[in-house]
Amino acid sequence: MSIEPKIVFTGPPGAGKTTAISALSDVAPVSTDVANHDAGLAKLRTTVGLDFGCVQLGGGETVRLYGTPGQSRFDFMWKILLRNAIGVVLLADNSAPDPLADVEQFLVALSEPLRGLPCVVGIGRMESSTSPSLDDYAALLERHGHVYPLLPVDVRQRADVSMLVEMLLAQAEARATLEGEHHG
Amino acid sequence: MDESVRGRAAAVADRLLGKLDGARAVVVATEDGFELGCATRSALESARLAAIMSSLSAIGEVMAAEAGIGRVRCLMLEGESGYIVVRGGGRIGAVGVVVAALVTREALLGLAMHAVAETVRELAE
Amino acid sequence: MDKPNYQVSSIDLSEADERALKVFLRFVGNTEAARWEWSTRDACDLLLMGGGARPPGHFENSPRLVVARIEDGGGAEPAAFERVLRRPLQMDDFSDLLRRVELGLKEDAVKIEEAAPEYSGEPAEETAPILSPAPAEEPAPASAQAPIPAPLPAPIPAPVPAPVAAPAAAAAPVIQSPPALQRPERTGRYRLARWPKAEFLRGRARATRFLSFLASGPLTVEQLCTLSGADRPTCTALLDALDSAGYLETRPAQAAAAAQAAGMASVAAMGPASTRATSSAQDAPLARSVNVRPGTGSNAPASRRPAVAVAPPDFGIFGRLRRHLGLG
Repeated sequence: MSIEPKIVFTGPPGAGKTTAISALSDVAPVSTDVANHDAGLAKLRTTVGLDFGCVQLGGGETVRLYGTPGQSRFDFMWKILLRNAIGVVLLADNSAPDPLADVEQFLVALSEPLRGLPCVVGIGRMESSTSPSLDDYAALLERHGHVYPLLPVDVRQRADVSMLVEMLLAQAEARATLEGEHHG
Repeated sequence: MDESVRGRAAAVADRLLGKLDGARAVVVATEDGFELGCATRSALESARLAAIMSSLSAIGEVMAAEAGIGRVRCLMLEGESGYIVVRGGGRIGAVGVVVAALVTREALLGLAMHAVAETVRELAE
Repeated sequence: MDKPNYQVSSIDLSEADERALKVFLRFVGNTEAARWEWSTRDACDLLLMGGGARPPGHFENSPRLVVARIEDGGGAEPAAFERVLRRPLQMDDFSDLLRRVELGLKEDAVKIEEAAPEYSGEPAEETAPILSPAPAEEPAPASAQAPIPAPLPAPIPAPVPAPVAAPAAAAAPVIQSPPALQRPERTGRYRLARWPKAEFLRGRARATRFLSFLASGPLTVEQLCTLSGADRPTCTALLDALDSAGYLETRPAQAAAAAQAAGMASVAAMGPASTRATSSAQDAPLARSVNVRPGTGSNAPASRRPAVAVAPPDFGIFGRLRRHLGLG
């Protein structure tokens, strides 16, 4: 399995996936937003296909940024997009009614694709919604057998989103080191 | 979702399935992937198809825009045992809808595409 | 149990220094473990000195006085165990200092200490370990824990904002090891058992990159050094701190390597630079700036940059993406 130069942003609706990609992308992101008809989701529009942006490294090399839809009925998109990614950024909104359950849903749904994939969890709106705490998320991850970096973020800030990518890259580099050791 | 919207979608799906030779199923979905109506001659995960076809329709729009070919009229998938024709851009009241017809390989594809297009126009009336 | 209240005071500091430290204290002085207040009395727990050889006599009334010096930057990099704050004053450093002193005070360190010019980098005998020595001393289960204090303003827990402020993954997390005699030889492989609690991370934003490496372990110390560009004492100190806090999984060197290889998916080389094994790390070109402390950027005087053991490897596209995002 080879790694493709792509990073996937996923998470429940309203967590800021589209915004995070916009903060990082070197080109205007493409989105497949349509009108939202779910009364339970306080958003006018929602992603049904994918968000797409890219980071242009020069020399024609790009790293693609994909955002998945947030609702579970689009879980097929999650699995398609996660395939061979450098890693996954799982975003959550701490002001949601039950953000821990939201994150847990993704951990369960993505348990197979996440196997062996770097992942970092970014929690938004922690300044205004202090509960649950980062420790609560860490405990949730631990219950699911995951050790992922956890970070409070403002996805509107490029520096914050870059930090998430930094932690993803650190994991990917560690894995590459171990793989290089294995293959001598 | 307003029940009248669902009722209209179900009626439209039934009608299309009835008049389209070789049709196996018709699904009407909201643009954001909820099933509104389904008529089928065999077991089908219609809710799941509703989500998938909304994604396809949206991605198709993006691709058409990138390629500069104008608005999408329909998406067509050819499989080993049949075709799927997807058409977005419909409306039932304020709700954007996507219609998909699954037909056998024996169906006349051109007729299927025309029938789906007519159905989408009828929805808005 | 109520958390302890400690007093910090200063002498021979400029108004600007004192003002900055008081501002820092507002943000990092009140944690789950302790509460610090600025004192103008003749007794305190932590004395911040701008000059002079010894604290004035009246401070010797303080039963557990700890002294830290405020010095100009540009001198030799202080050892991890020296109580020195270098100008320009950084809140992270001040927070680290408070945490270290708290632990010393907690263990009833009663001597007046001075940062010795001849300090060799080895911990003084009386220096207390920075972290709880055993997992049993960790905070009680969640139900018994005090609630997390009111959220600090955004700059504190947030990631480093400026592109040049590469999270100083390679800069020393300034974590103090247990005294040398107790420190285990780090010959195994190490992995993070779980992401540390906020309390551990407070004031250690620069450690998160190290922790991210360890999240994908199990790594040897050498591999951690290579990935981070930090020297062995720095990496070992972090491992010791994690171990003390119960966050570290340790595996034998050989067994872990075999198990990891069995479970590891293939990673194709990306871009022109191949993934490099640790043994060839020294050959790798320096692909990114290293040891850049937040807020100082690569223009910081060389003396402020901790020593780099080896050049970090260039992981092809990972490295190029890092540089593009200004992550170092």
